[in-house]
Amino acid sequence: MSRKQKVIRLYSGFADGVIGIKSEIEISHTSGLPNLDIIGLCDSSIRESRGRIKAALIASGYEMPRGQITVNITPAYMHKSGSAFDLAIAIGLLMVSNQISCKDGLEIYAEGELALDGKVKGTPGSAIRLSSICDNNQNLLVLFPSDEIDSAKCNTINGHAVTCLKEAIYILNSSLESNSYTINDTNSENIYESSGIDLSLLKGQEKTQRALLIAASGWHNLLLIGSPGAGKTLAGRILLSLLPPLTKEEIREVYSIINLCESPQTPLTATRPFRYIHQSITPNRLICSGSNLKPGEIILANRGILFADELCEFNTKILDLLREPMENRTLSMSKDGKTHVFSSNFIFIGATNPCKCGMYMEPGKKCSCSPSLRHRYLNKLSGPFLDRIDIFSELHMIDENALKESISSDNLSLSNEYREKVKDVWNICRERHKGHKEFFNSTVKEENLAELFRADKETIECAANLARINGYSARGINKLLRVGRTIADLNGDTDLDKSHLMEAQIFKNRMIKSTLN
Amino acid sequence: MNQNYYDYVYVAICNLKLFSGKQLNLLKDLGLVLNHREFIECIMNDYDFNYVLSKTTIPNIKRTIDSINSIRENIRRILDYADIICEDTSEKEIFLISTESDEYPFHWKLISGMPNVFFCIGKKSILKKCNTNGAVAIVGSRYPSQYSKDVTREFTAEITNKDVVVVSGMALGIDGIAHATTLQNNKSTIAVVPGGCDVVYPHQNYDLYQRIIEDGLVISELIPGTQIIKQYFPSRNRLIAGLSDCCMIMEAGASSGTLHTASFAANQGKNVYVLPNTIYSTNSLGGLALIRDGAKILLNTNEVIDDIAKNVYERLSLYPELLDDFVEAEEQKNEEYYSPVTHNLREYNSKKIPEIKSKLNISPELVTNEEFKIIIKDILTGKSKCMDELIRLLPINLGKLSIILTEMEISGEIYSDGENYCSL
Repeated sequence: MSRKQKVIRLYSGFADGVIGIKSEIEISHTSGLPNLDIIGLCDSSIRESRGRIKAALIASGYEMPRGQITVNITPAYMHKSGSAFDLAIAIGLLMVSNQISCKDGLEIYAEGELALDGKVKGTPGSAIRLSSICDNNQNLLVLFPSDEIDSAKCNTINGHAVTCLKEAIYILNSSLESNSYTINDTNSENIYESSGIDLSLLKGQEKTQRALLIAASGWHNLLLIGSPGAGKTLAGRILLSLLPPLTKEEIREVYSIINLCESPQTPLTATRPFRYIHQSITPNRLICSGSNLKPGEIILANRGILFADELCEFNTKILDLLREPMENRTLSMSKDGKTHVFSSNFIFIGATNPCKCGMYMEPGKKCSCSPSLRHRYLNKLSGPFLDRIDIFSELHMIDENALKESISSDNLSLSNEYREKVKDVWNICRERHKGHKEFFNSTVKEENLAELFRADKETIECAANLARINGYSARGINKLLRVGRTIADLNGDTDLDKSHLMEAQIFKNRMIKSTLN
Repeated sequence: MNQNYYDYVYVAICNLKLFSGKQLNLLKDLGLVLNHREFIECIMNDYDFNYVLSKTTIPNIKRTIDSINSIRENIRRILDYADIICEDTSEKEIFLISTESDEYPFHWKLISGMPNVFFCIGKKSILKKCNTNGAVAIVGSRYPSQYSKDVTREFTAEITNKDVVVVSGMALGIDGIAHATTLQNNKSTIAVVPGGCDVVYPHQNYDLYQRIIEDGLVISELIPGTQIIKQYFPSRNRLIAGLSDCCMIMEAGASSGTLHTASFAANQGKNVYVLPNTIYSTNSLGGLALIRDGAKILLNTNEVIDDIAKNVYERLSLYPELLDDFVEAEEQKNEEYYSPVTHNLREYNSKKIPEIKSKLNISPELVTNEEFKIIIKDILTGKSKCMDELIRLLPINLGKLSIILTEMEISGEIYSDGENYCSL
């Protein structure tokens, strides 16, 4: 006796690390004992979808097909999890049992979690999943939950946002033109909001103001050392206000990661991420959890700022974990024998007190720490870690005159003015390293250094001189030249010059070094 | 029994807190014993002190009688302990030196309150050198300013050129610099440490310690293996002062341990020299207070060398037997003693300053970098300032200022600890 079998195919997607994978779902229906089997290395959240789908079908006025049904989610060798396959499986069941029909040759991509009453809800990771079908043509009909409109926008999707199963089926039956979801440039300005903290609040701290401007222009890592209450944390937020908004490409990159960790309704933004970590953070939370590849803070800080407050209170092991991402700007994690590479291209800002009581830099012997205590306190920052920081600046408590000025300052748009400067420098750098992915002065690859460090003989001699006096390593000189290059760009000079290096020298790590020697 | 062995027994008794140097002095004063070795000999031979002691009318004599009784009761334990110390020291190549040894410092014989026995590692011949060549204590803050560091280096080198032994405490900062400079010049140095002489303190000076036990001497009155306790520091300072002919204070804060060394030295009738510094340097206020109280001002090393030479000369004419081993060395040394005092005061363009200042007020854009340098040097002389403060004081932008400061630093006109800038 031959059994009648019907097989239909449609598409959905899942996230493997930070890569979206388009997945084909095959559903076969044969007569036999009623059974719904979902295969393809699925975890329990997918297998539980049976209950949700059954209830949603009934709530929407359809029937659960009888007979033996097998749902195969391909590629079958990859682990999958999450509830985003619900909508695709439900539509497939209706098609395979002939309760609905659709045009021949039309491919369907659907994703979303079903509620028991037939509503369609968004799930985390939608931006990554939709990236597998970005810029799709009209042959692929895309259905996604209306919660995920922002994800669709950043992947430029032609499709339909749906709120319930019934609406999805209405769209299938009708031949509505797909809507195009995309980010337009004017839009990106609208969704950019400045952090609201202005640079002018750092009145009387000229060195730190300059340090922030240089850090923003050259994407340099920064360490602030200062007395308690001198404005270190404030300076971190001010740096955010100096950074120009994300580009379209960057918005997609940043949003897909944020979307993986936070609720699907998180709005799309062009403001750069600002991640604040403090000493109680665990390695998993900081880097990435090895079991489910949930991105940690350094991946969330990609294209933005990672701010570590009270750096000397951190566990040394945690700090040393930051070394790889600070140097390579990427993070690789292994799971199931496969290496996932996350990009973690952030500006690192550390803030620390100069000693345990914090008053070492204040005049008048307010500090009560012994030299050995100070040594122990600052010794937590390992040499290799400090080597990866380009700019060091000190903050003092400001005197009353500067304080008065900073409070009564009427020019609260200094940040905006400086942001334009930063934008100009970025354009110069982008022009200089046309065709390369990394164009910031701090991130340019070693192969392209010749162009970056173009300078006359006198300047090179000056750099060698500084290195000899201060005992810099090869990396030390490299960093000095990179910071010097940024200063040159800020001043609008085409070639590196002695005076730039002299200024860069001011921002070298000397305060901590002199304590530790 | 071997006389040296009595030294170990004495150390064992003292370390078990059964007997003290004070009580030994009492017995000496009564004419019962000559020194600690004789005392131990009497104990070993069951000489009866109690009869004589009970006849005396000295108050609290009962306590001494009790002590001697308890020594008798615990004699087995004491001898065992003495054996352990004996083995331990010979294994670690530690010498034990007592008042009866040849090497016992001559200075200590003249002062009361110095230990009867002490331990040392290294070249013990340096102790004899102290007698014939003179010794100077160079001490100071554990966290000195650049200025004090430089002067310490310079002066230590000058003094060691005359073969004077440098005594210090192997602490961080000035002490360490004094030792290191002496060793660099291949001269003799003695480190008096606050723990046992095989305990390295502070651990950052491990390398220095190794070099000192190679070419110098490490001394401690505590038995080997004793860990550091803060209370030992002043008594260590007393030994440093005691070993030397005069004392140089390079930098001392208002409540610094260095001040102990100074007061011990003064009480022992030795000259104290203090390196002058500005009143804005808070870490020098203790030293400046010493100057107010009558210490000598350290302007150059000639005075110090003269002072040591005078001491050595007096000592050697009174006790010619000290000369036995070192006649030759002394002759070499007598040459350059009375060199003329030369002290160069720094000059700078003080005349130009008012002129530049008025220019700064009227048209700051006309002031050249060189003129800024003169003004900055004037501001920084004796006071340290950070960049933000300088920007507040001068009509100059950060870029320009940073260039000027770095240039001045390269040429050595100003110093920086990374945060503050200062000039000498």
